[in-house]
Amino acid sequence: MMMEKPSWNLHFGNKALIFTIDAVAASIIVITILLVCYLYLFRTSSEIPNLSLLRTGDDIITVLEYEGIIKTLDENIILSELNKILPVQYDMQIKIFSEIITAGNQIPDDRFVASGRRFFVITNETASSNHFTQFWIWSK
Amino acid sequence: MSKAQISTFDFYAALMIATVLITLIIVSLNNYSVKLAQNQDANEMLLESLQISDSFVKTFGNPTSWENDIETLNYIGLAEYDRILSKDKVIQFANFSYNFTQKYIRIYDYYFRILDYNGTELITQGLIFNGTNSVTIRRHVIYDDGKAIMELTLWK
Repeated sequence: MMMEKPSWNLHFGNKALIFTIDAVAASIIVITILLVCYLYLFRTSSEIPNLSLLRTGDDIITVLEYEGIIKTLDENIILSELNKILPVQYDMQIKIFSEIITAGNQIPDDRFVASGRRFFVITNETASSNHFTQFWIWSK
Repeated sequence: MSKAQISTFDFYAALMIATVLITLIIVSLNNYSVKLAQNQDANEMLLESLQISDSFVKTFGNPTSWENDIETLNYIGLAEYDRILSKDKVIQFANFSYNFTQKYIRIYDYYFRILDYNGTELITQGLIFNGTNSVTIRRHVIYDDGKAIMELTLWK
């Protein structure tokens, strides 16, 4: 006895539906591959612009140190001078150790933040002391 | 509908779908390679400008007193100290001809400026942007006993 093949009772039979499913599956695979290629190639922004951000922070700390602003160890003076030279598209926080003086805004946690350190010495008549400045800089 | 008609219809439908997909693939891959090349180009220019600006603001150049005898110049540095620019070096650099300086910048055209914090130009050298792509780097420096911004634009 011949087994009856299962049928979906379609007007043109099973083959047309299978062809359609095959064509749709192939299209989905091709489009998925193209999308994955696009995402892979262009998924992340380059790291190189972050180097520019780091250099800006390092330059600013260096300039503030040369001008004697950092050595004042005064949060208000440091913040005032920082706001004069910080580019408008960036924000920054400076901490001076060992006094743990902090100037600037809160460091965000939802974007790239560049950081660096600079060491300096404060010398007065009787003694000298070592300190370092840590900075964090990010795009607004 | 006869089987022959169905088969013909099937053939043309498949041909149409295949043509659309192949066109999509070719156009996409072409766009990807163009965009990738543009990104690569921009990154290369940015990296080059960072390296040149580092050389300018952090090094004395070679030899260290090249401003006294430009015949001996190997590479250009404008610093008297880290991030403090030497006025003699900067003025000498500003007096170079464009063709002479381009031997040291290489690959790209450039425009160099030193500005104070009010935006006043103190020094300019090079050609103003007149191309298709450019990258500008700004470095905070000390120049002539005051805070200044050194701006370097590479373009092509």
